[in-house]
Order: sequence, then C-alpha cells, then structure tokens
Amino acid sequence: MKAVKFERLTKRFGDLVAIDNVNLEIEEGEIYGFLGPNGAGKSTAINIICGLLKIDSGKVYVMERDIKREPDFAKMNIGVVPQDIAIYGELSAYENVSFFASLYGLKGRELKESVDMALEFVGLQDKANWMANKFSGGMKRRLNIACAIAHKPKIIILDEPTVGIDPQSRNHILESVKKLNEMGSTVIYTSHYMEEVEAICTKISIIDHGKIIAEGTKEELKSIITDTNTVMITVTSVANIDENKLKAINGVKSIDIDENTVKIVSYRDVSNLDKIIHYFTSDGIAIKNIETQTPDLETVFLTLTGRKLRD
Amino acid sequence: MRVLKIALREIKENFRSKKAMVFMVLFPIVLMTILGFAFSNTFNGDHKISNISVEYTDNGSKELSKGFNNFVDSCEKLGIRFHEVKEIASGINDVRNVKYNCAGYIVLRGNNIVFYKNDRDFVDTNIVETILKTFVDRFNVVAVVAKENPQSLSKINVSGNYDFAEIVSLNSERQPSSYDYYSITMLTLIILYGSISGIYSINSERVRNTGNRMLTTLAKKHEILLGKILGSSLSVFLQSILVFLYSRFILKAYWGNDIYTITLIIISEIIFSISLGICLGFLFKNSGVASGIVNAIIPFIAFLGGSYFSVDAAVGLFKNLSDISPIKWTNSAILNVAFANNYNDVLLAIIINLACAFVFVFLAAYLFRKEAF
Ligand SMILES: Nc1ncnc2c1ncn2[C@@H]1O[C@H](COP(=O)(O)OP(=O)(O)OP(=O)(O)O)[C@@H](O)[C@H]1O
Ligand SMILES: [Mg+2]
Repeated sequence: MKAVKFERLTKRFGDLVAIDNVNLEIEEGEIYGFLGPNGAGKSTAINIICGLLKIDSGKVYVMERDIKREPDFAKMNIGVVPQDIAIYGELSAYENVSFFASLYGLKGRELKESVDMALEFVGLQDKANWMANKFSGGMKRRLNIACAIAHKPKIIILDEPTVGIDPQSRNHILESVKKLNEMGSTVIYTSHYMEEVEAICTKISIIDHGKIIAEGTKEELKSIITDTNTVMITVTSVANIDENKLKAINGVKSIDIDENTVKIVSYRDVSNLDKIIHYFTSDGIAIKNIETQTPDLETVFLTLTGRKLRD
Repeated sequence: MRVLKIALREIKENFRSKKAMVFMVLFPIVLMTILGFAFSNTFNGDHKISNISVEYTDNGSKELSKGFNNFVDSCEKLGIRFHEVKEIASGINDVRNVKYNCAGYIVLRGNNIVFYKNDRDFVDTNIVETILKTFVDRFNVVAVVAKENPQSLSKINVSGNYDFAEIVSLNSERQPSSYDYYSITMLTLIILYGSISGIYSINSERVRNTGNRMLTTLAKKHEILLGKILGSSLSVFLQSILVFLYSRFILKAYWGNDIYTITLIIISEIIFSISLGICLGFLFKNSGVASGIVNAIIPFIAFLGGSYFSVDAAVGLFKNLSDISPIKWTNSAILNVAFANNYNDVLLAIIINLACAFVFVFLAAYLFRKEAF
C-alpha cells in the first residue's frame, strides 16, 4: 500500500514554481524524510497533502485514493504537525487536543480516551490542565504533536518539529516519532537537521527548488556521490610503514602519507578496517588515533546542490 | 455540531481573556457611570405635558371637524395647547423651524387628516401622534357605522370625551435621565467596538496558525465561518448582558417595559458589528490596520449616532450625517421603545443592521474562498 503518492505534481505561487512536476511514492510503514534548504518546497508539499493548498496540476493520492475526490478520507487518515506551532494559548493542553480531535468527529468517551492517550504519548499528561501559553517552547512543540495524533491517523506528517528547542525535548520528540512508527503509522518528516534525518528516516528524498533531486535510503544516497571510504590513522612514526603491504590489503585504493598521518582510501563495498589495523599492530607501529571519513548527508547535499542545507 | 464546537471555543477564549473582558465589560460600565454622573444635571427627567403645543388647520368635512373639535377639547384638558393657523404653509414652516415649542401640525382636509411631525423632540411628538392615531381609529369606526347603520350611531358616543389620559400617561411617564441615556448608548457603543472582537477572531487564527490547523481537520470553511460569527456574537451578547445587569441594578437605569424588543435590536447590532469585524479580519492580514480603521471611524459614527448626546434635535447637515450613522437607528429605536413606547424605528434599525451584516458576511465568505487562512 502506498501511503502517499504524487503524480506529476506542480504547484505555483505566481511565477514561482514551488513544486515542479514531482513524482513520489511513500510506502506504508516508512519514516520518510524530506531534506532540503529553506524554500525548497517541503512545507508546500506537505500543505498540499493535507489539503491546505490547491493542486495546480497533477494528482495526489493518500492511501491510494485521490485527495481531490475524497478530501475527507485523506484528512481523516492524516495528522499533521505544522512547522509553525498551532495551538490556542488561552486553552489548556487538554482543551487544545480535545478541540481538534472533536473537529475530526470524535466525541464522548472515545474523545476523552484519545486525548488522554495523545497527551500521555508526548509526556504532557500531568500538565493536561495547564494553559498552553504557560508552556516552554519544547512543551508547546510536544502539544503541537499531541494535537495531530489524537484521532489516530495512519499517516503522521511532521514539518520541522524540532526547531528551536532544547536537546531533551528534541530527543523526546525523536523517540516519539520512532514509537509512532513502531505502532504502525507511516511518518513523513521534514528537517534541516541532517543528524535527525539520518538517525530516524528509513527513506529520504532530497528536495531543492521544488524538485526531488535524489531519493533512497541514506546508504543509497551516500553512494551516489562516492564509492569510497577514507580512514585517517595517526601514528607515532611513519618511518617503518610499508606502503606495498598496505596496498595489498583487499579493497584499498590509494595511500597517502602526510607527516604522522596515513590516509587510506578504500572501496565502500569492502570492509577492511580490521585488516588495516591488524597490519599496523603486527608491524609494531603504535596507533595514536583513527578517524574514519564517511560522507554525511550534508556532503551529499552539498555535492548535489552546491549549497549548504543551512546558511 | 462542528459549528457549535468552534463557537464554544471562541466564547471560552473571550471570557478567559482579561483584555477582552476589561474592554467589553469594564470599559462601558465605567463610561456609563462617569457620563451619567457628569451630565445628570443637563438631562431633564420630568416631562411636563403642559409644555406641548400643536398647530392645526381645519379644512375638514363637517363630521370630521366636529369629531376633531371634541378631540381638541379632550386634549386641552390634558394640557396640550392647540393653535389654529390659516395658512398650511406657515403651519408646516413652524413645525420645521420650531418657531416655538411646536410638537406637530395637523391638517384636516375633507375626510383626511395629515400629521406633520416635528422629529426633533420625540417624546412630545410621539404623545401627540399616538393620541391622534387613537382619534383617527375611533373616528373611522364611527364613520363606518354611520354609513352602514345610521340608526345605531346614537349608541356610540361620538361627541363624548375620549379617554386619552391613559395613553398620555403611558407615553409621558419618563424622559431618560443621564444614567438611562448613557446606559443605552454606551452599551450600543461598546457593541460597535465589538467588531474588534470579530477582527481578532479571524486574525488570531492566522497568527497562531490554528486556522490552518482547523482546515486540516474535517471542519469545512463554512462551518468555521459560521462558528466564528456565532461564537463572537454570543461572546459579545453575554458581555452585553453583564453590562446591562450593571446598568439596570447598580445604576438603576430604566430600560422600558419591553426588554424583548430591545434585546432583538441589540442582537441585530451585535450581528452587524461582528460581521463587520470578521469581514475586516479577512480583508486585512494585519489586525493592527483593521482595528486601526475601526478605532478611527467608530468615534465619528458614535458621535453622529447620539452616543454622547442626543441627536434627536439635530437639524440640517448634522441630521443628514447622523442619519447615515448605523448606530443612530439602533439608539433611536431602543430609546423610542423604552421611553416613548414607539416602535417606528425598530424594524428599520434591525433591517439596517442585518442587511449590512449580510453584505459583510458575503464578502468574508468570498475572501475566505481562497486557499487557507
Ligand atoms: N503562500 C505562499 N505564497 C507565495 N509564495 C509561497 C507561499 N508559500 C510558500 N511560498 C514560496 O514557495 C517556496 C517554497 O516554500 P516552502 O515553505 O514550501 O519551503 P520549505 O522547504 O518548507 O522551507 P523552510 O525550510 O524554510 O520551511 C518558497 O520560495 C516560498 O517563498
Ligand atoms: Mg517549511
């Protein structure tokens, strides 16, 4: 089952093409990451999926049903955590979640249980009666999430849910996202934070100027830009190193010695780090430090777009 | 159902907001108390019926003349003075220019009666108008009976004294005191300021992003719009009740005997104000601009509409300006119902309020048709 599918989707704001003829498929059960710089079109894509923005051309399916034909079906199956916190300051945490859940048609005991469940999920159950404007930034972010999950949607969309909060709340949110996924929800996650996307997403698409420029698991994405790994080994003395022996190790592509550091480049698909270390120890060369250099998504992004994710 | 949920949330928020409660409840309470106190000497509470004078020209048929003379006799016993004028033009002129304290001018022509009103002094004029109407009704009955069944005419007392005393006392019982007057006009004024509640109701959804969040639920745009209008209107209505209770029981202001009709007029004004505010909320992305406009315009409308002093005696350009102030009709309708038992302006006021509201809501719905908030 495809949780979300775009078919040649285009969205314009005047002359600006915010989503440019995009095809996309998100499988059920995935934690799918949208990675892209400011203005890439991430929020626009999300606002289209949840029915806030109209489609200029193309089609969008949610759970394999056209959202234009069955908007309520799509809305019922989606819970969206908007980029900008959307809660009522003059309402308590409980009242906030309850209000939005009731707009999905929940009522009575089901409503109460769902609200309790959602608040507990984000760890705000003991602050349920606090007015939201008394909350810290991190607590507001968590309430923002609770408001999106009380109606138990199959697809949960989080648009930069960790912007501007303390590390503790951030970890809590990341854990929550994983838990939601384990409980059976498909998650769509956008972020500037490379580490977050790397840590939780099972599949990632890199978006820029309204286009998907690369898509895959993080390993697939990394292999797009490079097929090698680099190990930097710092030793006490390079005098006794036999370059030929090192080169003979399976997978090693090149060696470069610079002062006390040996830079060894190997093919990615071969794991030979144990053999390399074995060479040094068996030849009696004392290792002071080992550093591996695998390209991160930041590098992938930089290579693909020529831009940094955050300026 | 969703409309009610949205409305209920709005009310909750309004009643929790100290700012809104101070502005919508405390502010008018303080104003009506201060103004009532400050102007208590300039308002004349006693209304002496002996001050009323009326002019007339008698070109009527024999029967009408006869009946009218009896009517005049009855009225003079009550203290209303009648002056006969020969020239119709001069009578009309006297009424128009209030040469002396002339409440109206009556012309008898054949079997018709024409009444020229002095619309500057509504209490006096209403007394005369009401008893004149009663006379006309009686006279018509008599005339019909005479035509159909001349024999039975003697049984009906054509020439006897009419019992106008009751009607007159009903009308002349009160003239608003300063507390009465400002209780009414400050309440209607603050309801006009209630349009700011309407602006805020839309704008806060935009600022807090909650409007868009509502749109991602199953709530439809028309449900949101209706819920907003209903919620804001009910909030202002409940706040008005608090203000009313204060004026009624603390200031002991008089609101007349027909609170239901007055409530209807008030509700129509609330719907007018809220619709205006909601429309402005959609029109201007920035609530500062929208409420700035409202804050700049309302003092004029209020001044022209008689919020601070009576505009019943207005003449010329000022009267014309005051007539286009929507709150004038609301004020005058309420004052007339409460103090003169006169319902002439009620329907007009309600229609003006609701017709404007309809236009505003229509425009708001049109502006809301675009994407998102
Ligand atoms: N309502 C709108 N009207 C006009 N232009 C818009 C509107 N919404 C977005 N845009 C433009 O569309 C482009 C994509 O915006 P979008 O918000 O989707 O970016 P984003 O990837 O979410 O960026 P960010 O990381 O800053 O949230 C931007 O150039 C933005 O200025
Ligand atoms: Mg965004």
